[in-house]
Amino acid sequence: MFPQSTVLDPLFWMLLGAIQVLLFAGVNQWAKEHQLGMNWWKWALAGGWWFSFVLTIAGAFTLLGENEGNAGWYFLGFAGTLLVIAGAGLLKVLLVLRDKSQQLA
Amino acid sequence: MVDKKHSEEAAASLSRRNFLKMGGIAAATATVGAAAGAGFVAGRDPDANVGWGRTEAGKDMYFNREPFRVDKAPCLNIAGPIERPEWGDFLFNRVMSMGGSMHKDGWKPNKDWQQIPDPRVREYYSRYPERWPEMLLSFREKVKHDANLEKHRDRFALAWAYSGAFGTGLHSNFPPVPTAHPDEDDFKWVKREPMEFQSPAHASKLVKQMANKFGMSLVGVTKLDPSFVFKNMMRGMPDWGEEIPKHWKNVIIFGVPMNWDPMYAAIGYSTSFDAYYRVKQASGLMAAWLGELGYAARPQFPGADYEAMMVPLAIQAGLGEATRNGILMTPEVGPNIRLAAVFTNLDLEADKPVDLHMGHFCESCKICADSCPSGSISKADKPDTVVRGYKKYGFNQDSCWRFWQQGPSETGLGCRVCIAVCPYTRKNNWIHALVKESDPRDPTGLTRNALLAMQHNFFYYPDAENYHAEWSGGNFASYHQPPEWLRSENYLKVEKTWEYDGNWEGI
Repeated sequence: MFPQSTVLDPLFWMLLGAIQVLLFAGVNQWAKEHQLGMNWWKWALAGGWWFSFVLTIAGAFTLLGENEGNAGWYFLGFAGTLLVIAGAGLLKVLLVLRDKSQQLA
Repeated sequence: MVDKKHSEEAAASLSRRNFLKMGGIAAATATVGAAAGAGFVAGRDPDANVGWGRTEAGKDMYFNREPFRVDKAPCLNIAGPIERPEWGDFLFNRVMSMGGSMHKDGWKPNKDWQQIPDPRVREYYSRYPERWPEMLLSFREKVKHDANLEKHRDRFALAWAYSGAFGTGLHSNFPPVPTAHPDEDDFKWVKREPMEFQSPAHASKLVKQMANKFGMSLVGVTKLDPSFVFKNMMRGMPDWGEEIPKHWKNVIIFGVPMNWDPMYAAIGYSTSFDAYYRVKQASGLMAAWLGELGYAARPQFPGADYEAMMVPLAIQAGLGEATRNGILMTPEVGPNIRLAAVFTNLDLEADKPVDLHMGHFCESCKICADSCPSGSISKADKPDTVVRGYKKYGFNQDSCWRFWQQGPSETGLGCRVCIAVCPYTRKNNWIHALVKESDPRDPTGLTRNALLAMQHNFFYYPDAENYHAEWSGGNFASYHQPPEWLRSENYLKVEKTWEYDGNWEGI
């Protein structure tokens, strides 16, 4: 985030790593509240989706930063749309599985 | 009392849960913003400018070629009897000879190539008579170029000044151009009896380090293959046959990219002189260093001081592979590389060529051919011609040269559009590094196909005609718009009367 900087750049990445802990703690609370019954593979899917989403944003903006404006926006639109659809699908799966487990209980 | 305690605990728990829930949302929002910001500056980061960033000697910008070494370069396919290149095969020899005939002897180019005074030039056009109309046109286009150029100085003043500065440096006499027989001239560097290296491997290792210290980004070593040494030419000698000096045993070949942002803004804002200057100086420094240790040296450097062809030697040294446009393509900088070399009698351990599947990439890509403003690059699906025994893509150097004379550069030299648009000509940031590392390791070709699908559908390429100058039907388009430091309207008292056609940051 702060190229050529000896202090700000490492601080930025440490802070970004730290807020990922807060992010997943928050997601954990939301998941408990909605009784999603998160297990290892559900976490893996959710984490994988988040990682892909963040990488897509970073990739698109990297293209913008290197003056590939067209490519950056098209990439964001194409991959971003696919990921939003995939994210909605993942959420639906989590909710359906929750409802099924509640019916069995 | 107990109820109150439970009530307080419940409230605290609720508060903690709410904090985590809201904090999670805030963290997600911040992460998205940080990803966008970090991505944007990664694209802007000058550290990604291989050869020009602060990590000039940084390891992370270099591709590890070792897993891809092969005994035989996949792009040097023999399809006929091998022939050494002739004097006339070298474009600059022909151009300089015809220029001399025009200025000294009053010769005027006309439709009949058989009236060209120099028999060596005639010999070339007897082999390629269809190319003569292009060369003939180049003379007329140069006149038009010179008549129109000054009208556009306000726009290109800083770019031409940048190019001119390096051009002045380039045309200094270091390293000195040979003036005597190579058995004498190449030894002018030698200061003492040769100091023996522990082994050829030690010598190669040190030579490569020295090339980096002399400013070179990429370096390789190969044995001198006579197939790529010109016949009938030797600098410093008025007449020469087919002899190759015995002390030309090994080749140290190296290169540096052109400065990235001007290169992307080809034609008018780009120059080859920056990289030419640097490789030329490095070839001289390498020759002097070898001489200090007692070894002979024959520098080969741009613009036209060569006894051999650089690209195939670089391929043999494993720097990269051949491309559709005939330029060396490297994994780090694509075809954005300018080469120089030093022939020496020092015993060196040669590098092996590499197989990075670049040939497959060129077969499917064709972006350079589609973008070429002079239509000089073959659009065939596979290499479609045999040149001196090697199978390669057809390339018309005469129509390429004709376009140089049309382009909006002050010198009428160079175009560089095929270099700028090549998908391999990408900076060393994380997305391109990932692709460049993945594609050669993917036997299925999926990476290549996905990448090319994006290249063809997401990226903007100006129409080939638009790269032309206004006086020849274009709009001075460039693949990228020029960097801010080459825009004269940002620094000079000029009135901006033009619009840019090219990629920009899109925000």
